[in-house]
Amino acid sequence: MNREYDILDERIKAHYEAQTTDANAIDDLKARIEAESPQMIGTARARRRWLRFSAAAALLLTGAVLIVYVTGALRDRVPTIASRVASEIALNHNKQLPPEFLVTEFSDLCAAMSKLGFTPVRPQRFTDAQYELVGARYCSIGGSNAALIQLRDDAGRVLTLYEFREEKSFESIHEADLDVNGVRVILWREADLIMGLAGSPS
Amino acid sequence: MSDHQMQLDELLQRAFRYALSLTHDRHQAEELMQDACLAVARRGGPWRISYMITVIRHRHIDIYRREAVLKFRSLDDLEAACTASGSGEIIDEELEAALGSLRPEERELLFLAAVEEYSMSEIAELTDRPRGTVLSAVHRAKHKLRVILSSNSSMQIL
Repeated sequence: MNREYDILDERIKAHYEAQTTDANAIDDLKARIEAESPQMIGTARARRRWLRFSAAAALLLTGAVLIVYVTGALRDRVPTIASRVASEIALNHNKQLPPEFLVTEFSDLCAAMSKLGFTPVRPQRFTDAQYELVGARYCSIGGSNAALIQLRDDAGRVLTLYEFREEKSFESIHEADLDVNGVRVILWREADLIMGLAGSPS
Repeated sequence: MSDHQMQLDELLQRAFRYALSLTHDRHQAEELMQDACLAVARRGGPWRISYMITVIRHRHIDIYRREAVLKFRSLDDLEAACTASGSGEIIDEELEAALGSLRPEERELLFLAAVEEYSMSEIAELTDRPRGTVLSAVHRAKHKLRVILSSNSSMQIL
Protein backbone atom coordinates (compact mmCIF):
# COMPACT_ATOMS: atom_id res chain seq x y z
CA MET A 1 0.00 0.00 0.00
CA ASN A 2 2.83 2.39 0.91
CA ARG A 3 4.48 1.77 -2.45
CA GLU A 4 1.18 2.49 -4.14
CA TYR A 5 0.80 5.74 -2.20
CA ASP A 6 4.38 6.72 -3.05
CA ILE A 7 3.60 6.28 -6.72
CA LEU A 8 0.44 8.32 -6.22
CA ASP A 9 2.48 11.08 -4.52
CA GLU A 10 4.89 11.15 -7.45
CA ARG A 11 1.99 11.33 -9.86
CA ILE A 12 0.40 14.22 -7.95
CA LYS A 13 3.74 16.02 -7.80
CA ALA A 14 4.38 15.59 -11.51
CA HIS A 15 0.82 16.68 -12.27
CA TYR A 16 1.06 19.95 -10.38
CA GLU A 17 4.63 20.70 -11.40
CA ALA A 18 3.62 20.42 -15.04
CA GLN A 19 1.26 23.33 -14.52
CA THR A 20 2.56 26.84 -14.69
CA THR A 21 0.84 30.11 -15.07
CA ASP A 22 1.56 32.10 -18.18
CA ALA A 23 4.91 33.93 -18.27
CA ASN A 24 3.18 37.12 -19.39
CA ALA A 25 0.84 36.86 -16.42
CA ILE A 26 3.87 36.51 -14.16
CA ASP A 27 5.48 39.59 -15.74
CA ASP A 28 2.25 41.57 -15.32
CA LEU A 29 2.02 40.45 -11.74
CA LYS A 30 5.61 41.47 -11.05
CA ALA A 31 4.90 44.89 -12.51
CA ARG A 32 1.90 45.22 -10.21
CA ILE A 33 3.95 44.01 -7.25
CA GLU A 34 6.55 46.64 -8.06
CA ALA A 35 3.84 49.28 -8.25
CA GLU A 36 2.50 48.19 -4.87
CA SER A 37 5.84 47.62 -3.24
CA PRO A 38 8.73 49.15 -5.18
CA GLN A 39 11.13 48.02 -2.49
CA MET A 40 10.33 44.36 -3.33
CA ILE A 41 11.71 44.55 -6.84
CA GLY A 42 13.84 47.45 -5.71
CA THR A 43 15.47 45.13 -3.22
CA ALA A 44 17.08 43.32 -6.10
CA ARG A 45 18.22 46.61 -7.61
CA ALA A 46 19.48 47.82 -4.26
CA ARG A 47 21.24 44.51 -3.80
CA ARG A 48 22.82 44.82 -7.25
CA ARG A 49 23.82 48.40 -6.52
CA TRP A 50 25.28 47.29 -3.21
CA LEU A 51 27.10 44.41 -4.91
CA ARG A 52 28.50 46.77 -7.54
CA PHE A 53 29.56 49.21 -4.84
CA SER A 54 31.11 46.40 -2.78
CA ALA A 55 32.94 45.04 -5.81
CA ALA A 56 34.28 48.50 -6.67
CA ALA A 57 35.30 49.12 -3.06
CA ALA A 58 36.98 45.72 -2.86
CA LEU A 59 38.78 46.44 -6.13
CA LEU A 60 39.97 49.83 -4.90
CA LEU A 61 41.07 48.36 -1.59
CA THR A 62 42.91 45.55 -3.32
CA GLY A 63 44.56 48.09 -5.63
CA ALA A 64 45.58 50.27 -2.69
CA VAL A 65 46.98 47.29 -0.80
CA LEU A 66 48.82 46.17 -3.92
CA ILE A 67 50.29 49.62 -4.48
CA VAL A 68 51.43 49.85 -0.86
CA TYR A 69 52.87 46.34 -1.03
CA VAL A 70 54.63 46.86 -4.36
CA THR A 71 55.94 50.27 -3.31
CA GLY A 72 57.23 48.77 -0.07
CA ALA A 73 58.75 45.83 -1.89
CA LEU A 74 60.39 48.14 -4.43
CA ARG A 75 61.63 50.38 -1.68
CA ASP A 76 63.13 47.35 0.04
CA ARG A 77 64.67 46.22 -3.22
CA VAL A 78 66.13 49.61 -4.20
CA PRO A 79 69.49 49.68 -2.46
CA THR A 80 70.09 52.65 -0.25
CA ILE A 81 73.38 54.60 -0.37
CA ALA A 82 74.40 52.93 2.88
CA SER A 83 73.75 49.44 1.53
CA ARG A 84 75.58 50.24 -1.73
CA VAL A 85 78.59 51.56 0.18
CA ALA A 86 78.47 48.57 2.54
CA SER A 87 78.39 46.21 -0.48
CA GLU A 88 81.41 47.90 -2.00
CA ILE A 89 83.27 47.73 1.29
CA ALA A 90 82.42 44.04 1.75
CA LEU A 91 83.51 43.29 -1.83
CA ASN A 92 86.87 44.95 -1.35
CA HIS A 93 87.23 43.29 2.03
CA ASN A 94 86.76 39.89 0.42
CA LYS A 95 89.42 40.66 -2.21
CA GLN A 96 92.01 40.90 0.56
CA LEU A 97 94.27 43.06 -1.62
CA PRO A 98 97.79 43.40 -0.28
CA PRO A 99 98.54 46.71 1.46
CA GLU A 100 100.61 49.32 -0.36
CA PHE A 101 101.82 50.86 2.84
CA LEU A 102 103.03 48.61 5.60
CA VAL A 103 102.58 50.80 8.64
CA THR A 104 101.72 49.90 12.19
CA GLU A 105 100.69 53.32 13.52
CA PHE A 106 97.85 55.54 12.36
CA SER A 107 100.08 58.56 12.70
CA ASP A 108 102.33 57.07 10.00
CA LEU A 109 99.37 56.78 7.61
CA CYS A 110 99.06 60.55 7.35
CA ALA A 111 102.49 60.87 5.81
CA ALA A 112 102.19 57.71 3.72
CA MET A 113 98.79 58.50 2.16
CA SER A 114 99.22 62.12 1.26
CA LYS A 115 96.98 61.97 -1.84
CA LEU A 116 93.79 61.15 0.04
CA GLY A 117 92.73 64.75 0.51
CA PHE A 118 91.92 64.05 4.15
CA THR A 119 93.76 62.75 7.15
CA PRO A 120 93.01 59.19 8.15
CA VAL A 121 92.51 58.85 11.87
CA ARG A 122 92.30 56.06 14.38
CA PRO A 123 88.61 55.65 15.22
CA GLN A 124 87.79 56.68 18.74
CA ARG A 125 85.73 53.57 19.26
CA PHE A 126 88.86 51.43 18.92
CA THR A 127 90.84 50.68 22.03
CA ASP A 128 94.59 50.38 21.65
CA ALA A 129 94.68 46.70 22.34
CA GLN A 130 91.66 45.86 20.22
CA TYR A 131 93.07 46.02 16.70
CA GLU A 132 96.57 45.92 15.31
CA LEU A 133 97.26 48.00 12.20
CA VAL A 134 98.62 45.81 9.36
CA GLY A 135 98.83 48.24 6.45
CA ALA A 136 96.83 50.38 4.06
CA ARG A 137 96.21 51.17 0.41
CA TYR A 138 94.37 53.72 -1.67
CA CYS A 139 90.89 52.86 -2.66
CA SER A 140 87.71 54.55 -3.78
CA ILE A 141 84.15 54.35 -2.59
CA GLY A 142 81.40 55.69 -4.78
CA GLY A 143 83.97 57.58 -6.85
CA SER A 144 85.55 59.22 -3.80
CA ASN A 145 89.02 58.63 -2.50
CA ALA A 146 89.14 56.29 0.43
CA ALA A 147 91.71 54.73 2.68
CA LEU A 148 91.52 50.96 2.87
CA ILE A 149 93.12 50.09 6.18
CA GLN A 150 93.80 46.50 7.15
CA LEU A 151 93.57 45.53 10.78
CA ARG A 152 94.02 42.35 12.76
CA ASP A 153 92.09 41.69 15.93
CA ASP A 154 93.15 39.83 19.08
CA ALA A 155 92.00 36.54 17.54
CA GLY A 156 94.14 37.08 14.42
CA ARG A 157 91.20 37.81 12.14
CA VAL A 158 91.74 40.38 9.41
CA LEU A 159 89.34 43.29 9.25
CA THR A 160 89.13 46.11 6.75
CA LEU A 161 88.50 49.68 7.77
CA TYR A 162 87.45 52.23 5.20
CA GLU A 163 87.71 55.91 5.78
CA PHE A 164 86.42 58.48 3.32
CA ARG A 165 85.34 62.05 3.45
CA GLU A 166 81.78 63.10 4.07
CA GLU A 167 80.23 64.32 0.85
CA LYS A 168 76.73 65.25 -0.23
CA SER A 169 76.21 61.91 -1.91
CA PHE A 170 76.87 60.19 1.44
CA GLU A 171 74.70 62.44 3.58
CA SER A 172 72.12 59.72 4.08
CA ILE A 173 74.67 57.45 5.68
CA HIS A 174 74.47 57.39 9.44
CA GLU A 175 75.00 54.61 11.93
CA ALA A 176 74.39 51.25 10.29
CA ASP A 177 75.20 47.65 11.04
CA LEU A 178 74.66 45.57 7.92
CA ASP A 179 75.20 42.03 6.78
CA VAL A 180 76.43 41.76 3.19
CA ASN A 181 76.56 38.14 2.09
CA GLY A 182 77.90 37.04 5.45
CA VAL A 183 80.26 39.98 5.88
CA ARG A 184 79.33 42.29 8.71
CA VAL A 185 79.81 45.96 7.80
CA ILE A 186 79.49 48.69 10.42
CA LEU A 187 79.15 52.28 9.20
CA TRP A 188 79.43 55.41 11.31
CA ARG A 189 80.54 59.03 11.18
CA GLU A 190 83.48 60.42 12.99
CA ALA A 191 85.78 63.48 12.61
CA ASP A 192 84.13 64.61 9.34
CA LEU A 193 84.78 61.18 7.91
CA ILE A 194 82.65 58.18 7.18
CA MET A 195 84.04 54.97 8.61
CA GLY A 196 83.23 51.47 7.43
CA LEU A 197 84.52 48.42 9.23
CA ALA A 198 84.16 45.11 7.39
CA GLY A 199 84.83 41.61 8.67
CA SER A 200 83.55 40.09 11.84
CA PRO A 201 84.20 42.89 14.32
CA SER A 202 83.39 42.06 17.90
CA MET B 1 17.56 37.01 -15.65
CA SER B 2 19.08 37.47 -12.21
CA ASP B 3 18.96 34.81 -9.48
CA HIS B 4 16.62 37.04 -7.55
CA GLN B 5 14.21 37.33 -10.49
CA MET B 6 14.33 33.57 -11.05
CA GLN B 7 13.63 32.94 -7.39
CA LEU B 8 10.68 35.33 -7.52
CA ASP B 9 9.31 33.66 -10.67
CA GLU B 10 9.64 30.24 -9.05
CA LEU B 11 7.95 31.49 -5.90
CA LEU B 12 5.03 32.87 -7.91
CA GLN B 13 4.67 29.59 -9.82
CA ARG B 14 4.66 27.61 -6.58
CA ALA B 15 2.06 29.99 -5.17
CA PHE B 16 -0.02 29.49 -8.32
CA ARG B 17 0.15 25.68 -7.99
CA TYR B 18 -0.93 25.86 -4.38
CA ALA B 19 -3.84 28.10 -5.34
CA LEU B 20 -4.68 25.60 -8.08
CA SER B 21 -4.80 22.81 -5.51
CA LEU B 22 -7.42 24.80 -3.60
CA THR B 23 -9.53 26.02 -6.51
CA HIS B 24 -8.97 23.30 -9.10
CA ASP B 25 -9.49 26.07 -11.63
CA ARG B 26 -6.69 27.88 -13.45
CA HIS B 27 -8.41 31.26 -13.70
CA GLN B 28 -9.49 31.25 -10.08
CA ALA B 29 -6.03 30.09 -9.06
CA GLU B 30 -4.40 32.94 -10.98
CA GLU B 31 -6.74 35.48 -9.43
CA LEU B 32 -6.21 34.06 -5.98
CA MET B 33 -2.45 34.00 -6.39
CA GLN B 34 -2.38 37.56 -7.73
CA ASP B 35 -4.59 38.87 -4.92
CA ALA B 36 -2.38 37.19 -2.36
CA CYS B 37 0.83 38.46 -3.95
CA LEU B 38 -0.43 42.03 -4.04
CA ALA B 39 -1.51 41.73 -0.41
CA VAL B 40 1.98 40.50 0.49
CA ALA B 41 3.51 43.32 -1.59
CA ARG B 42 1.45 45.92 0.27
CA ARG B 43 2.71 44.51 3.54
CA GLY B 44 6.28 44.51 2.25
CA GLY B 45 6.75 40.73 2.38
CA PRO B 46 8.08 38.39 3.51
CA TRP B 47 8.43 36.63 0.16
CA ARG B 48 8.55 33.07 1.41
CA ILE B 49 6.44 30.16 0.16
CA SER B 50 5.19 29.31 3.66
CA TYR B 51 3.91 32.88 4.09
CA MET B 52 2.43 32.91 0.60
CA ILE B 53 0.62 29.66 1.37
CA THR B 54 -0.84 31.13 4.54
CA VAL B 55 -2.03 34.29 2.75
CA ILE B 56 -3.50 32.34 -0.21
CA ARG B 57 -5.20 29.95 2.16
CA HIS B 58 -6.81 32.74 4.20
CA ARG B 59 -7.93 34.58 1.08
CA HIS B 60 -9.41 31.39 -0.33
CA ILE B 61 -11.35 30.78 2.88
CA ASP B 62 -12.55 34.41 2.85
CA ILE B 63 -13.73 34.18 -0.75
CA TYR B 64 -15.36 30.81 -0.18
CA ARG B 65 -17.20 32.11 2.88
CA ARG B 66 -18.26 35.33 1.16
CA GLU B 67 -19.58 33.69 -1.93
CA ALA B 68 -20.83 30.60 -0.09
CA VAL B 69 -21.95 29.22 -3.35
CA LEU B 70 -20.51 26.66 -5.67
CA LYS B 71 -19.63 27.88 -9.10
CA PHE B 72 -20.80 25.75 -11.95
CA ARG B 73 -18.62 25.50 -14.99
CA SER B 74 -19.58 24.43 -18.44
CA LEU B 75 -18.24 21.14 -19.72
CA ASP B 76 -16.21 23.07 -22.30
CA ASP B 77 -14.44 25.03 -19.56
CA LEU B 78 -13.80 21.87 -17.61
CA GLU B 79 -12.34 20.14 -20.63
CA ALA B 80 -10.11 23.11 -21.45
CA ALA B 81 -8.91 23.27 -17.88
CA CYS B 82 -8.10 19.60 -17.77
CA THR B 83 -6.21 19.08 -20.97
CA ALA B 84 -3.53 21.70 -21.14
CA SER B 85 -1.42 23.61 -18.71
CA GLY B 86 -0.25 27.22 -19.11
CA SER B 87 3.12 25.98 -20.34
CA GLY B 88 1.45 23.93 -23.04
CA GLU B 89 2.38 20.59 -21.49
CA ILE B 90 -0.17 17.81 -21.56
CA ILE B 91 -1.37 17.09 -18.07
CA ASP B 92 -2.63 13.92 -16.44
CA GLU B 93 -6.30 14.12 -17.35
CA GLU B 94 -7.29 11.09 -15.34
CA LEU B 95 -5.63 12.46 -12.22
CA GLU B 96 -6.96 15.94 -12.94
CA ALA B 97 -10.50 14.59 -13.03
CA ALA B 98 -9.94 12.53 -9.89
CA LEU B 99 -8.52 15.52 -8.03
CA GLY B 100 -11.59 17.47 -9.08
CA SER B 101 -13.70 14.95 -7.19
CA LEU B 102 -11.89 15.73 -3.96
CA ARG B 103 -12.78 18.56 -1.61
CA PRO B 104 -10.46 21.61 -1.71
CA GLU B 105 -9.00 20.84 1.73
CA GLU B 106 -8.22 17.28 0.60
CA ARG B 107 -6.41 18.50 -2.53
CA GLU B 108 -4.60 21.05 -0.40
CA LEU B 109 -3.31 18.38 1.97
CA LEU B 110 -2.19 16.16 -0.89
CA PHE B 111 -0.49 19.10 -2.55
CA LEU B 112 1.37 20.19 0.57
CA ALA B 113 2.51 16.63 1.28
CA ALA B 114 3.33 15.44 -2.25
CA VAL B 115 4.37 18.60 -4.11
CA GLU B 116 5.77 20.92 -1.45
CA GLU B 117 6.91 17.85 0.53
CA TYR B 118 6.05 19.32 3.89
CA SER B 119 6.11 16.99 6.88
CA MET B 120 2.85 16.23 8.68
CA SER B 121 3.93 18.53 11.53
CA GLU B 122 4.61 21.37 9.10
CA ILE B 123 1.27 20.86 7.37
CA ALA B 124 -0.43 20.83 10.76
CA GLU B 125 1.19 24.17 11.56
CA LEU B 126 0.37 25.70 8.17
CA THR B 127 -3.26 24.61 8.24
CA ASP B 128 -3.72 25.18 11.95
CA ARG B 129 -4.86 21.64 12.66
CA PRO B 130 -3.64 18.90 15.04
CA ARG B 131 -0.94 16.69 13.54
CA GLY B 132 -3.01 13.52 14.08
CA THR B 133 -5.95 15.05 12.24
CA VAL B 134 -3.70 15.99 9.33
CA LEU B 135 -2.15 12.53 9.25
CA SER B 136 -5.49 10.76 9.03
CA ALA B 137 -6.90 13.34 6.61
CA VAL B 138 -3.98 12.87 4.24
CA HIS B 139 -4.39 9.12 4.46
CA ARG B 140 -8.12 9.37 3.75
CA ALA B 141 -7.54 11.73 0.83
CA LYS B 142 -5.00 9.38 -0.73
CA HIS B 143 -7.31 6.42 -0.22
CA LYS B 144 -10.19 8.33 -1.76
CA LEU B 145 -8.09 9.40 -4.72
CA ARG B 146 -6.85 5.86 -5.25
CA VAL B 147 -10.41 4.51 -5.18
CA ILE B 148 -11.54 7.15 -7.69
CA LEU B 149 -8.64 6.39 -10.00
CA SER B 150 -9.26 2.63 -9.71
CA SER B 151 -12.95 2.96 -10.44
CA ASN B 152 -12.24 5.23 -13.40
CA SER B 153 -9.79 2.68 -14.76
CA SER B 154 -12.33 -0.11 -14.31
CA MET B 155 -14.93 1.93 -16.14
CA GLN B 156 -12.51 2.54 -18.99
CA ILE B 157 -11.84 -1.20 -19.24
CA LEU B 158 -15.54 -1.90 -19.27
